[in-house]
Amino acid sequence: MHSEFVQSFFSPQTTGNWFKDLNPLSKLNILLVLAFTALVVQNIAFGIGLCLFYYLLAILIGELKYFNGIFSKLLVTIGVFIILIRQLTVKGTTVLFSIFGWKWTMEGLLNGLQVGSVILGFSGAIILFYASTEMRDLMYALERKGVSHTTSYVILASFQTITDLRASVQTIFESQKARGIEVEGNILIRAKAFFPVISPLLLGAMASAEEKSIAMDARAFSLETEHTFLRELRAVPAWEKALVIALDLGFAAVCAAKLAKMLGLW
Amino acid sequence: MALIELEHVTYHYPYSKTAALEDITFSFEKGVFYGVIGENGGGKTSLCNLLRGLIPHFYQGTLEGRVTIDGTDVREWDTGKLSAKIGYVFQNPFTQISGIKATVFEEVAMGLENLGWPKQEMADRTLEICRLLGIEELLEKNPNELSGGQRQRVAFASILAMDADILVIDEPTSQLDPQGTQDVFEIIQGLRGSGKTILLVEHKVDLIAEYCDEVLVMQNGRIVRSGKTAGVLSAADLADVGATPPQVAAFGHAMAAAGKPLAGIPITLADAEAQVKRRQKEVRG
Repeated sequence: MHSEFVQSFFSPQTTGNWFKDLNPLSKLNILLVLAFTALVVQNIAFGIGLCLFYYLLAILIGELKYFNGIFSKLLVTIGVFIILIRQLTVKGTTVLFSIFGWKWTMEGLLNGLQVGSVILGFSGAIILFYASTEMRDLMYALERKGVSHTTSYVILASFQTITDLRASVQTIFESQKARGIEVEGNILIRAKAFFPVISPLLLGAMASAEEKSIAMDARAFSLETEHTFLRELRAVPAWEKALVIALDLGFAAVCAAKLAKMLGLW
Repeated sequence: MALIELEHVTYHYPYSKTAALEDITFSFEKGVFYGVIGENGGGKTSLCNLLRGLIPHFYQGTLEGRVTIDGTDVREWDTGKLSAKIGYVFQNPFTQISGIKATVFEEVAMGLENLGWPKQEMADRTLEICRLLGIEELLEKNPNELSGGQRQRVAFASILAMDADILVIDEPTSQLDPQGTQDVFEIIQGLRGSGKTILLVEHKVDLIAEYCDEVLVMQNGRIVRSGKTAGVLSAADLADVGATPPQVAAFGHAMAAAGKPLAGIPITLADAEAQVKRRQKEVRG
């Protein structure tokens, strides 16, 4: 009898959360529909509502901390940046207040809020996708749809490489410091330290890429045979398919309505 | 017919003027455990790369002479099929971890996924190998966060799991402590019983002396000595070809030089102990 951990591989991998357990491609589809709807609708109320909905979903899937960590930074950056820029570029007549002669207008503010809500409505969906999906599950789903396992390997390994490179930078930093290269201090000193740190990093990365491909070859990666999977996802249930189709149709309807409005038909 | 046959093989890495392997002729027989020793830069890893088919498939360069694996020229082998036939464990344990698996269990099973094993057999085999290598307690750990020694065991397990007929192992114990090294050697020893052909590059010559059937000594890209382990390692001039003799062999030679030769030159500790005891008995009459 296998341990509980090993036994878990004999049934589809689930987390017990309805949204997280959606097929990664269904999830991607649903969230992209929401993201593009924000883009098509271009409405402040809709954008804000959508952001609140993302928060609700993040709470429901237990990823509020991850979601809020990225989303709040984006909110502050985009909020400040877009609203300031729009005050400078959009000409308006309804002056709200004035700072040292710089007149803030209602038109500029509304425009800023509108653009901001579109960007946040779009980005929120992407952040939520990352918060709720493991990349290996996405790649598994893609492989099942016919994407080559080499492509999926390269994408997955890239994520790990970022972590590894970050660790290497730290090691190189420390060793160059031990050799007497100044790496801390003002901007000029840091700029000077750039090459002594980046060159070993690049060379090391190239050497390990070569070894990595040998290691993968040693695992019969290039063998032309049907691969099997230790970790599998559940079959997509009918209700999930129905939900995705309904949302896609809804999105098509929104697009049609918008087009009709633009053409003056509605 | 020999399993792997090398005839007058010379190889240059791309852009290199000196030959990494020079005029090598050797036959590797099925089921034999070969140990490879020699100085750094002597061509040991290049020999591994050649036997594994990485030369000429992965490293371009110029390959002269004939290399046949199981009767087929290495140039005609499909690299994928070759990887299923020959397992390869190399020195650096850090690059041998795939980087895409979240647990050691999945990491070790990865090769079997690529070979298309059914899930039940895959899980059974993976567990069996992890038990064999004593990495059961690591099963649920993230392979990217392991220490060098742990990674080395995981990398070794990942290749062993694939059950290849031939194993090319390049310094599998570089990151292991003496006990870990001993364990790995015992595992390799255990594999001999299953008829596998093993080529092991290792600097720890005392362990080579204890476990290998035959030994090859490499220097400047050539095989300068080869033959039965006892014959090669007991030679008085082993150090002249860049290889370190086993400590007990050096002791045997010193005894001979002192005019008190043992019955033969020992190469393992047990061997030396037996000979010394015999000598003691003779002296005491």
